[in-house]
Amino acid sequence: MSLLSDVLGELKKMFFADLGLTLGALAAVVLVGLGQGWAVLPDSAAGPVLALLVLTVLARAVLKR
Amino acid sequence: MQDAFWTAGFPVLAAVFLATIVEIVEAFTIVLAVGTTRGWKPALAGTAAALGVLALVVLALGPALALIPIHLLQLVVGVLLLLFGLGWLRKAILRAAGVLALHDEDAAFAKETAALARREVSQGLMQGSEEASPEDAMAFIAGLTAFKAVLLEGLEVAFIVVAAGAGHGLLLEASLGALAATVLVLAVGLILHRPLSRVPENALKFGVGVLLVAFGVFWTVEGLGGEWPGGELALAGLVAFHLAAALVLVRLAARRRERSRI
Repeated sequence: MSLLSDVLGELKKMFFADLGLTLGALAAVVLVGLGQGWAVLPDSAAGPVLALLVLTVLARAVLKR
Repeated sequence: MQDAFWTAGFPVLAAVFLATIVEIVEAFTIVLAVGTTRGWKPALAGTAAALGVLALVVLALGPALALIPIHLLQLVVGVLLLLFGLGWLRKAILRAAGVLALHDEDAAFAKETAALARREVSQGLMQGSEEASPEDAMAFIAGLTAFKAVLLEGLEVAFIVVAAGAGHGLLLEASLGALAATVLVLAVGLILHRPLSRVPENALKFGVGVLLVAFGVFWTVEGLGGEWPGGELALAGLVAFHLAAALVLVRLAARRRERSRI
């Protein structure tokens, strides 16, 4: 039981150590996906836009401390 | 074929190799504490059992992921790598800027040795109340400590091997990277016979974080059906972009820290 909770704790640490960072990155992916789906964002622009959004989320997570 | 290795296979191999060094160094510190405090038999047995479990995880998950349609797999793996890599990069940036303390292998070794000694004392106090001899019980606890340390640290390695390898059918390259790093750390550790505190852990974590975020962005966009100018060569551009941005963030975070101290 203790081993299982340790493994779950490790998984939580791997993906949810900073909830704002995780949610922000997921929101960036959803935003780019929707932009492509609605043909607002050209396929060739999806990459650079996602890279910039991810960087913004990371900068916020680092500089808020 | 040669080009494909340098643009996709080599970055995956390098990322897994460096990530494995970081994790195995941490696990090795605890196994060393167990080995020097309670003997090498339980330490090695626990380590071997955990490595076996991790190998099973990779062998089971790797081929199973190949059954998922490639775009969906790239999207899921890309997002997971992105989240995981961002976590590593955030921590590495904060450590490089002095906001968070660096990981100290010597301190971790001393802490684990003290914890094992405390358990030995409490086990001695309980002598007579258990059916198994205190020696056997301590050997079991020591083995379990080594098992848990290798399993928990290795989980991240197993995840990176599967995620980085499965997206583009590079599981073999990823596994080789992990295996080479494990052999290297164990060989150096066995020769030195003390915690590997001189390994530039944060620099490695910083580099791996940059690589994983770049892979994550690249595969997420491929999974979403987007196109990269230059194909897989765009990965090199993404690595350079995130590396430069992360270095700027280190400077900004360090400056903020200095200002808040005044």
